[in-house]
Amino acid sequence: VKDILFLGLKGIRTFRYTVEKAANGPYRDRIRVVDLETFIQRGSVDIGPDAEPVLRIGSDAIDFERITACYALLMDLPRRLVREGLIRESDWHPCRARLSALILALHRTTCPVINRPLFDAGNGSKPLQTFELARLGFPVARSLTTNSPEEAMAFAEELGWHVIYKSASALPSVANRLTPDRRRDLERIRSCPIFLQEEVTGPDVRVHVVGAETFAERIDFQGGVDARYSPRESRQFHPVAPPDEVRERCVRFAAEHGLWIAGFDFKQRQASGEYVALEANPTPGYDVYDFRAGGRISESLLRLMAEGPLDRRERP
Amino acid sequence: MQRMSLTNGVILIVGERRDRAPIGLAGLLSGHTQENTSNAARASFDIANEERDWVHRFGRFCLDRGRQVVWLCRMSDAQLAVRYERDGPTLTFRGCGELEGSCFGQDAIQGVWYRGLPALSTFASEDEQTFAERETEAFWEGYGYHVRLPVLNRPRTAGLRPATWENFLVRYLVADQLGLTIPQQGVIEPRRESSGRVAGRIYQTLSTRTLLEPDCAAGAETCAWIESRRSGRIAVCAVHVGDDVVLSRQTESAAEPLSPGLLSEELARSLEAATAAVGRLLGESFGAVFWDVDPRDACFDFRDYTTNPDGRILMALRSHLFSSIWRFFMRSGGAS
Repeated sequence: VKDILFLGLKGIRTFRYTVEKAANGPYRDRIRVVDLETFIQRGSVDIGPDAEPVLRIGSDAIDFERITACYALLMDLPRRLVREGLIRESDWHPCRARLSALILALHRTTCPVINRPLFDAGNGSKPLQTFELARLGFPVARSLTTNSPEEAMAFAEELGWHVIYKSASALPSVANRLTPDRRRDLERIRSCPIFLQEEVTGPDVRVHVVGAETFAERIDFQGGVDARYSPRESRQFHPVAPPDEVRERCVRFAAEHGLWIAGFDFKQRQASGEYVALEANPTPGYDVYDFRAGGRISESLLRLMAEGPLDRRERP
Repeated sequence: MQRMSLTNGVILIVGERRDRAPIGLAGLLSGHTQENTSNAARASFDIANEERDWVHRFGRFCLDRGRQVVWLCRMSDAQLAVRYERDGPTLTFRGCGELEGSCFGQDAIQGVWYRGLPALSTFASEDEQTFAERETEAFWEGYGYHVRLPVLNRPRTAGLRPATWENFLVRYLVADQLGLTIPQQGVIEPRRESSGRVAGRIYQTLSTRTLLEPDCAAGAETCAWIESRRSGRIAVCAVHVGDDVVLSRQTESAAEPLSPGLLSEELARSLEAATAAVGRLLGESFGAVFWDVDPRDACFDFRDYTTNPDGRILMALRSHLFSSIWRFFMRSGGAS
């Protein structure tokens, strides 16, 4: 019986949660855990021409030949950390090199990796991903990207100012309403384009895909356009069963992009109940949803890792 | 390039090739490393000049055939809007600054050539600069990925663009998916090989992708390595535009046409077919494959791929490439 491997930062809540679930579950005797911070400081990778990669930390060796599946939640190690004095220049190079070597290993291994690094499903560009979701048949909101204040205002006028703005990339930003009193602020988009979308009113719905299974939750809330930033006391969570076509599209989208686990964000139109797709997250922070779902998502994930079925050669 | 309102047949060139320093493929091919920084700087300058010259010449080539090239080097030179609709995204372009008066809509565009991120305004902090660059990239990724026109090459996020991954991964992908042979390669830890590094290999640091000679790989960090080109083999650069392939002999500084008889016809055809297959596998409509070719045994290894062949290569091959690129843009899908 082969082991299941967990690779990530112990400081990241979702990773810690997943490892705890594994350590207290039926496969607890098969788990191996590698803390990413320790690895990039002291680890090494052997990748030869014809063998599975081997990870080493001190005297401990992990041969992917002996691993049935790997859950990997890697983080980047940007140069910004050197600039801000959080890591020394002399340390950054070897740490970054080990991280790159680890990424190479996770691609080179034939062992299923949940999810392989670099598989982003287009999540780095919202306009790209939104309309990739539309290609699979998901309804999406009307959208505009522009560096022209005039075009932005024309779009807002057309939609009666029921418009939200957010970043076009995956860099953190808070979606917010564009209101007529902010016309003058639009001058700032001349130097950096903006992503505008029709505001869809209704609850948020989050759908997690694990392999071919789906788990969904509706979040009713008041105030703001994004439940995550609405007043906590206004939020209400309900398990929900999305229509079959929504679940099927989620599973298909994840599979087409080489993702074993993914988190899909929707708005459910108040008037029609239609699911409008917003985003598909390739590294979902599923833990809080799992907590409310009684652990069903993590059970599915661990079962998939330990028992399959997993294709050992998945590619985007 | 010209100040006019445009109604038809625009070829929109976006941005400039960014990785000008010959750190990667050209250096790897010729066995050059970054030891001599003044040479590297001079080479970088030469490449940049050739790049611009290449685009200007291509612009004239198109103009002679009744098409207008608009080259957006700076984002501030245009007010851009992309609306996403059922039939694909539509771009509205209103030039200002250097491009004042160049105004056109989606229907006027024949094709798009995305060469890299256009220059942006300077921001107060590095974080703001990074944010603006990434937002602008995402802007072009959305449009370029989905627009229903010939695009050379479609910009998209790194996860959807394996050609931009580490060379090491691209080689494995090509070997696994196409069954082509590749030189031996691997990853080596510092100080694992006691007497320096192994001769006959080229090393590349993983943090900064700097190429190192075996004796200089002093064990500071984990390196990727690849077997050097074996004796008796020659470096062939195959630039493809869609499935059109132009073969050339890779030299230290650029490329030159293959001398007659260097490769048998059958071998040349195999190389062209393999190059087109690599382009299709990676989803790239334009790029260069670098092959290690043994003309005597009529076999070849895939060494590298770039979506951005440097300007010196393009200039050397322009008589073939201009017409290939022209055909690519004139194929169905663009404005009439």
